Formats: sequence, structure tokens, C-alpha cells
Amino acid sequence: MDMRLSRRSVLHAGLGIAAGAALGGSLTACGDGGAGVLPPAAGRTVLPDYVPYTAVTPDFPGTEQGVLNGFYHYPATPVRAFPDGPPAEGDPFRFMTIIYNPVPPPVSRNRLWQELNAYLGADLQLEIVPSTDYVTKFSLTIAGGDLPDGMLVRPEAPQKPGLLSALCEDLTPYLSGSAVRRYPYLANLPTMSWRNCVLNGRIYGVPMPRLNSGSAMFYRADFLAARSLNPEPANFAEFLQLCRDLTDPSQTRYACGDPLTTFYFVMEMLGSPKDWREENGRFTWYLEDTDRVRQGLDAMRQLVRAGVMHPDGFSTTGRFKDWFGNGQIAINYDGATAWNDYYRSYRSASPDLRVGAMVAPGFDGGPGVHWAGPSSFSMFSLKKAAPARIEQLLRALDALATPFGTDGYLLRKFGVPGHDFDFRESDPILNRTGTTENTLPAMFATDAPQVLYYPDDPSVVPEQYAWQQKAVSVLISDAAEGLYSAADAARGGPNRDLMFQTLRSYMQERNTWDDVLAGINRWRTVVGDQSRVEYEQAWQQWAV
Amino acid sequence: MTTLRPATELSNRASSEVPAPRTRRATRNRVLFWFALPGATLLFVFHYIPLLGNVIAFQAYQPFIGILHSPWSGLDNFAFLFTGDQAFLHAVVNTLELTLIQVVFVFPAPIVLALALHSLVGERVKQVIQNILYLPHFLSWVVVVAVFQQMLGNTGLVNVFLRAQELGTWSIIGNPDLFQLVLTSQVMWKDTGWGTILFLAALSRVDHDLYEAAAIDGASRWRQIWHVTLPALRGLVILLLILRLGDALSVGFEQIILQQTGLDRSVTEVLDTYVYNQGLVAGQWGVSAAVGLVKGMVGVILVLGANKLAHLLGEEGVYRR
Amino acid sequence: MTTLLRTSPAPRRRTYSAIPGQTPGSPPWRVLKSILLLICVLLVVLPFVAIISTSFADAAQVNRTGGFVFWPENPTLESYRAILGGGIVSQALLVSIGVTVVGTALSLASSITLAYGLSRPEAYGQRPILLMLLFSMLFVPGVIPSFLLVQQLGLINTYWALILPTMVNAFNVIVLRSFFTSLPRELIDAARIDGASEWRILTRIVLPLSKASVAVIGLFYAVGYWNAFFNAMVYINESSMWPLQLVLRTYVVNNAAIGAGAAAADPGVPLPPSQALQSAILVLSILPIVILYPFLQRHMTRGVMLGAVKG
Repeated sequence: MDMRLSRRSVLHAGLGIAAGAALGGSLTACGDGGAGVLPPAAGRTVLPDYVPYTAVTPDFPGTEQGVLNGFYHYPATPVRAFPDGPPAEGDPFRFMTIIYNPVPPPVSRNRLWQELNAYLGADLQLEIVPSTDYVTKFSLTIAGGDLPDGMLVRPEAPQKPGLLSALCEDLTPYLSGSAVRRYPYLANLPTMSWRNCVLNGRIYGVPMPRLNSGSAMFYRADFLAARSLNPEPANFAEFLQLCRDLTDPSQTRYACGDPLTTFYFVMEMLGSPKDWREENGRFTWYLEDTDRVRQGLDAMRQLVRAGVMHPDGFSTTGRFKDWFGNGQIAINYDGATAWNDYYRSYRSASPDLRVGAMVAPGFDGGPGVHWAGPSSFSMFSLKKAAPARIEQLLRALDALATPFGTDGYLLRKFGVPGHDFDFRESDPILNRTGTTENTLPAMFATDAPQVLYYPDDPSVVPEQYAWQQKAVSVLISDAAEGLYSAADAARGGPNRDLMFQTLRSYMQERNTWDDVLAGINRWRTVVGDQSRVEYEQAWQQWAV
Repeated sequence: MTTLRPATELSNRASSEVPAPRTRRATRNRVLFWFALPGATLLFVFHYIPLLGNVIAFQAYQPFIGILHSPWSGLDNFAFLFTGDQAFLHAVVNTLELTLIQVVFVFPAPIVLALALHSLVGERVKQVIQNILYLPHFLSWVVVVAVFQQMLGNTGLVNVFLRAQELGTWSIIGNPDLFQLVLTSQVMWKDTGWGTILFLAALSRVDHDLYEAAAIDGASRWRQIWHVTLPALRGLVILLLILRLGDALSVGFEQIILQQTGLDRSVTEVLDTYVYNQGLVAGQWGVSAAVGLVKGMVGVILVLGANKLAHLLGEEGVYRR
Repeated sequence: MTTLLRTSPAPRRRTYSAIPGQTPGSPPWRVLKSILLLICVLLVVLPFVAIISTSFADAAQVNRTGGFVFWPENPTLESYRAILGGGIVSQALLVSIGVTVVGTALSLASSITLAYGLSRPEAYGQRPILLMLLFSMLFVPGVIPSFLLVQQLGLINTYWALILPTMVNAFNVIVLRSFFTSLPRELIDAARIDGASEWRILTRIVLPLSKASVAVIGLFYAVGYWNAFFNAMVYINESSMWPLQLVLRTYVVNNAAIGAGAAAADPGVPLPPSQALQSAILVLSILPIVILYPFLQRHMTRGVMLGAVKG
């Protein structure tokens, strides 16, 4: 299939979503659900051209709607991404970025890092910040004024527009339109992910593309198979029955763990928009659609009453993965990339483990919808500097975006052969050194588009691909993605959590529907109404 | 030299000026100032200079604009005090309740434990026990909460056992009625052993001859504790109590934020979690500073008031009159 | 007179009574007390046994129990290997030990002199400095101004940034001072009359009589330095200079934070089960304190008995 994604086709897909959403959730028949929402106007012209990388042919071709490329094996001879030698030169690149893994050994003891420096042509000095501390460290760095050459900017960074225009380089002249072709691997990044890097019509950073099929409802295929249960419930009633069949309290085995993400899944069954919905320039938040919310919450009450929710699910955070791995729960809603993680983390302990994923059916039958995830994790912005330096930095970022099949990708993700990994056929299998060295958070500067690939067990790739096709066919995106609202950035997150708490209480029958309504009204007053206005303005500006 | 009298008795008299050669006293007093100077300077530099930065409580401060150029915003950052928000009132009430509970139950716990350890027969046993009891202090709240959940949760050890005996489930974690009890027992579990350290240090200075003297006078064990042991702790206890009051508006932020899921906020919210959960502090440095100032002011009132009260009761408190 | 004071406390090793001279409690009370203490000890010991066992447990067992295990069936060092591999933890351990030792020494020096300088009401500037200490506990400076100060002083990316800002802790100084002021005034005045300098009084009279409290405050400082990660996160950009707690934080907190899915590294890292890893981290980070504590404890519990001074 042609991987070329024209702006026209993105636009078309986006309008399809907007139109479908306008029907109030009866989007289900909309087969050409798109990779995301792009506002319909000239603001887009600033976006870089999309020039897909074609030197490696996938076993399972991705689609322009967002299905990822799938590969059984790594190419036996990785493509040399920079045949003329290292792309960059000059002073070391000081990058401040985030880490979600154990911190890797310093460069003096890290072959992968040393080789990466050689590959780039200049030293990469990473200032690594633990994920939970990033917001603080970011503010301090800004306040102190001694900025690194490049830094990760979270989507919800306070005062983002002012901050970026005051401190960061406007990359529009370097990347907009055909200019990006000078950096072929940045040009290979999906258009939708760039959408998150544009503010006030200017490009202020480079994206960290992520698969936009977002999260998946995983299930323990081994459990379902053992009881001959159908992993594809056709409606909510069948889902409820499936949950009942999977539950056995005497064995501490339950169907679902996290009440909140289970609620998301029910909302997908009900065809709910993902977060914000745009309709003729008007923005609505999904919980404001009270009829649907009430239906979803009452369905949750049914699940709770049926005893299929893990009894500690309401009072616990962060243990659901482990519960899923050790079989205390059989169904878990998680980021789609967790698929490989489950095998990696839990298969050694439970060899029978098989993971599958379902897509929400319609609540009363037919198809449901699938919520898209953000197309980019954050953006990576560059400190203001002379054009020659900016070009060097962009070349380094270009090298950090070299895609699957290249030597650069192999080095970043797996490291040095014989030291970090060994080849099994053409596939790299990490060893212990590799697992400590490859946590180098270069992927939080920029990264190649994600792919479906699991060298330890290639047989999962077709399953993942099939799920992706199904999910992407009913994909629905957050209309506010890539738009900036100061109110939502500052107060949105915590107030959302506050709202979720009210919902959790309702599921447990500890409060009433009036309390939920009061919570929604409160959210409107405190943050919602202002966010709405700001998103609508951002939408208009983008459209002008 | 005359027989020394017990430290405790003397400490109350320490304020009385003992005659010293007048000429030397002035220089000596200045010598003491030089002793204090290095430490005081460090504190001034690293505490009071940055404290000036709290002017941002009256600014719409943004890091990339800077303190000097951020616009003034009057009392906007203090607005959370006056909204009359129901959630805010809940948070204040919960905070004060928890502080009260902790002062009444948590604060005396290490004193009791220290007394029990102090009177223990056998030095070796005493050391071993102490060695064990202080350990939980080093666990982070994340771990303490996990330990409690795995012991007392609905699928925790206790309930798995109860269910195996067909005794049903005793919902502890995630039960709003027991929330404050759970919090309090966590704090006690974590810090009671650690808290004994200061009191044991104070007890180590009790003059053993006093016990002998009291025993000769026929005092019972309890009277000995009342008249000899406790007075040795009194000054320290009052000092620590006053300092604790200064923190009256801060109760276990991290501990609580970890356990708020699944319980109604009207039960779990305290002042610190309120400002956090409202998004008042995320990226809003001015509000953070404002909250700090308000808490500091309340702390000053409570500490100075308690200190005054201590003086009225004839105690020294934090500082002398 | 000073010679008298230098006499070290007479070791009292009587096993039948903890405190010489104290009337023994009645038998029922003693039984009750023992039971109570036993319960306290069990309440602490059991979770710790579980933590230590879990750190040695293999993935299959941790996975099966879904949490802590009480006895490792197939003990393995896998969790420790995962943490210590790569060498960054051992390096961080050295940093932590260095900062803790140097920091505690400097903290004790400045706090003892400060507390002593404030221990007598007639001292010049005593009251304002004391109030300054007290208020510093009530008003906490913001993170940003502190950062700007440390930056101005040129301490970013130096180990001094981990010591100087927290070198004087007002609570510790106030407690230490209260111990100093409760020393018998006669001793000090007598020494003055004998012509001893303040320095001599501090080192020859006050400190020997305050071994217990100085040991406690030293422990407080040491634990403070040992456990601190925030200042390192803020002031140290080079991960090769991080102290242990900050490195370990990336194992515990971040490991728990994964699940956002969007953020997870690809290919991910096959770590031992998080519960086992976390337990091993706890063991590693508490171990040095467990080793250090008994040495300090000797000074803390026995202290100086004034009775011994009588001579």
C-alpha cells in the first residue's frame, strides 16, 4: 500500500471525524476514520511536507489512517542512514529530557551512548530528569535562564506560547513545507505529530511521534481460551457476561481492575468523543454529554454490583499491570505499546501467558469507537541560536529519528552488537548490558515513527496488526489535540482527577447523580468554560 | 566542688543570673556571638535571602519573565482563601481534625514507647528492640502505603485469611469511615520508633541517684516515673509540641495524595492536597508562595501563642521570656 | 575540677535492672509491657521480613503472590544484579557516602557552635538569632528563589549544592540548644571563674556532657543527607554525579509511572518484577543506616550520668 499521506487525504479524514462526531456518537459507520483532526484552513500550510521513508518494505504495510508498519524481522543488512559519514559537527549538544526508566550508565561507561555520539558526529550531553520531577526542573531551568540547546516541552507547559516565542527558536524557516526535505528522517514523521509542535502558526519544535491508536483493552487470551470464552463480545451485555465468566473470587481472580479505564471502554462502546469534540467551531467536553455519561456510569454500577471488579481496584493506583501479569485480573486497558511489555515482563513467570486485545463493540451491538492517543508525546524545542548552529542541531535530531531498518535505529534501540545484544538470525536480542544502556532517553528528543516488531516472538505481530486495523477503522481523536488553552494547561489535569473521583464514588453507589451533575458544573466554572473559549479561539486562529 | 543537683531541677533555675566578673562578661557575651555567627550566616544566606523571593505571592509570576518584570497582581493569589468553596472548607476542617488527632495520639506515642524502653531490663534487648523499631522511618510513603494495602486491603493478607475462615471481608482500606484511623496508624507505624530517639537521649541524662533517693523515700514505681522520669522530659516535650503546632496546617501531603483514589474528597482532602488538586500550584508559583505565606502566618500565631502559654505555666518553651 | 569532668561515665552493666536504683515494676505490669513491646516489634519485623524476602524472590513467586512474599522459595540475586549492573548505582553510593560524611561533619560543627552561642540568654544577639531560627521553620523559601541563589553562587553541578543549603537545620539547632541550656549552670560558671575560655568550656564540659544529644542530632543530619534527592535533582545536571537516592528514584517512581503507554520505551527493559526490585532498592538504601546506627546508639542511650561526675 502506498504510505504517502497527502495533506488532502488527512484533511478529508479529519473532516470525516468531525462530521461523524456531529451526529452525536453515531460515528460507528464511518469507516474512513482518520489519523486525526486537522482544522480546515490555511494555518496548516506551515506544516512540514510528509515524505515517507521507503527503503525498507514492511511485512504488514501501515495505512495513512494510522495503522503502523509491521515487521517480522529486522533487515539482515540495516540501511546506512548517512552513507557520507556523521551528519552533525561542532560543540556538544546539551539536551534536557525526561526519563521513565532507570537512569542509564554515564557516557564514560556506556558503549551505546559513545557509539551514538560517534554516529551523530558530536557529543550528546543529556541532562536527564526523572519523569515525576520534570515540571519542576523545567520551570527552574527557565527561571535560571541558562537553557540547554534543546529541551522537551510538555504539552501542558504553563504559558507555553509566550515562553516559546521568548526563548525558543522559530523553526518554521527550517522545517516548513519543502524545507524539511533537507532532513529526510524528520520528513518521515507523520503530519499529525507535527500538529503538536505548531503554536501561533509557527513551528517551535520537533515531535516525538507515538502511535495514535492510543490504548487497547487487553485480555488474557490464555484464560479465555481455557474456558472457551469469546474474546469479541458483541455488546455491553455480552461484555458483562464475559466478565462474570472470568471472575472467581475464591481464586482472587477478577475481570477488571481499574474502574476509570474500564469506564473509558464503556464510553467507547457508547460512541463517546475522546475528551473534546468540535462541532461547527463549538467545543464540548465528553463528560458534558450527560445522557451518555449517565448510561456509562450505570453500566459501571452493573459491573461493580456483579462483583467483576477487583475489590482493591478503587483504592489502588499503579498495580494493574502486575495484577494482569499475575492473573488477578483478566482484562486491562493500557497503552497499546504495553502489548510487548506484558510478554517481556511476565512471560518468564507465567509461561502460558497470551495477550489479546479487543476493540469496543457498540453498547447495544454494532461497532463502537476507539479513542486515539496523542500523536506526539511532547515537543522538543531549541534554544535561540545562530542559523548554522540550529542546522547542526536539526541534523542531530534528524539522526535521532532514523527509522526502523536503518543502522541508527538499531543503535538507538538495541545498542552495539556483541556488547548490548546478539543477533538471532537478523534480529537483535538484548542482553543484560543492553537493557541498562538502551534506557538512554534519546527517544524523548525525537524518534522514528513506531512500528510493530517483537524480535523475541514475531508471531505476535500479525495479531497486533489485525487489532490496529480494527481499532483504526473506528478511530476518534481529541479535537483539542495540538491546540493550546492556558486554563486547561494550568488547571485542567487536577480538576479532571477531581471529576473522576466523583465518578468513582458514583460507580460505588456512594453518591447520587446530582453529585455528578454538580461536579460537572463545578468543572465548568473552575476550568471548563474558560478552556472551551480558549480552544475555540485557538481553533479559529488556526483556521484563519 | 559542691554536689551537683539533677539537671532538671537546675534547668529551671538556669535563668537566674549567676554572678560573674562584670568586666569579663561583656566580652564573653560577644565571644558567644562569634560562636553563633557561622551557622547563623549560613541560615541567613540560604534561607532568608531566597525568602525574599516570596514577593511572587503578590505577582502573576512566570519563570521566563522573572521576578523583576512579572506584573503585580495584588491579592489575586490569595483568592483561594475567600471563595467559600465547599471543598476548601472540607479541606480546612479535615486538616485541623487530623492535626488534633496527631497531637493527641501520635505525639505522645514515642514518649510512652521511650519510657517503656527506658525501663527495660537488659541493655542488649533494649538496643535490639530499638534497632528494629526505628526502621520503618526509612520507608518512603509509597512503600508504607503499599505495605498497608497488601496487609489490610480487600484482597490483602488479613482479608484473604478472614475469607478462608468464612468470616467475610472487613473493608479497611478504601472505607471512608476508617480513613483517618488508617492515616493515623500509618504515621504511628512509621515514626513512633524513630521518635523515641530524642526522648531516649533526654532520658539518658536522668540522674540515677534520684531513683535511689526516691526509693529510699518509699516511692512506688509509678511515683518514680511521675516525679523523676517525666520531669526530665518535660522541657523537651513542650518544645517539640510547640514546634509541631507551627506545622498545624501541614499534614502528610504525600501520604494522603497516594490514598485519595476511591474515596470521596470531602473525606480525604486536606489543605495541601486541596491547593494541589485544584491545580492552584501547578505552574502557578505565585499561589504556591501565597499558600506558604498563609501557613507561615498561622504557624507564627500558634507558635508564639503556645510559647506564651508555656511561659505562663512556668516553662521555658522555645525561648525565654 | 575539670579533671573531674573528664571522667568518662562508669559503665553500668547490671542485667537485673535497667536503671540502677529504680524500683522494679510489679509483675503484671512487666508482663503487660513485654507483650506490648513484642507486638510493636512484630508489627515492624513482619513487613521487613517480607521486604527482604521479596528482594530475593524470583519472578515466578512474586508473580504468583501478587505482592510481598514471606519466604523466597528459589532465592535469587536477580533484583540486586539488575540494580547494580551498569555501575551507576555503585558510583552513586560513593557520592552519597561522601556527601553524607562531609555534610554531617560540617553540619554538626556549625550547629554545635550556633546552639552553644544561643545557649545563654545574656549572649549578644541571642534573641534575634533564635527568633530567626524559629521563623525559618515556619516560612519556607520557594524552590525558584533558592535555585537562583545557588546558581548565582556558582554552585550548580557541584557537590556543595547538596550540602550548603541544608547545612544548618533550625529544628536540629533548637533541639540541641535546649539540651545545652539544660546543663547545670554551676558547672559552666565554675569553669568561667577558673578562667576557662568559652572554647574550652564547650569542648571540655558541654560536649562531653551532651554526647547523647550530639549523637542524635548527628544522626538526624546524616539521615537527612542520605535520604535527600530533591536538591540533587534540582542542582545537579550530570547524572554521573547523582547521589544514590536520586538514581534509585528512577527505578521506583518511574517504574510505577509507566503505564501511560505513550511514554514507555520501545523496546522496553525486561526488569525483575517491580515488587522485587523495589524491595531490593529498599534494602540497599537502608542498609548503610542499619550498619551505622549501633555505633551511634552506644552514645545515645547511655549518655553521661551526671552522678558519675561527682567523683
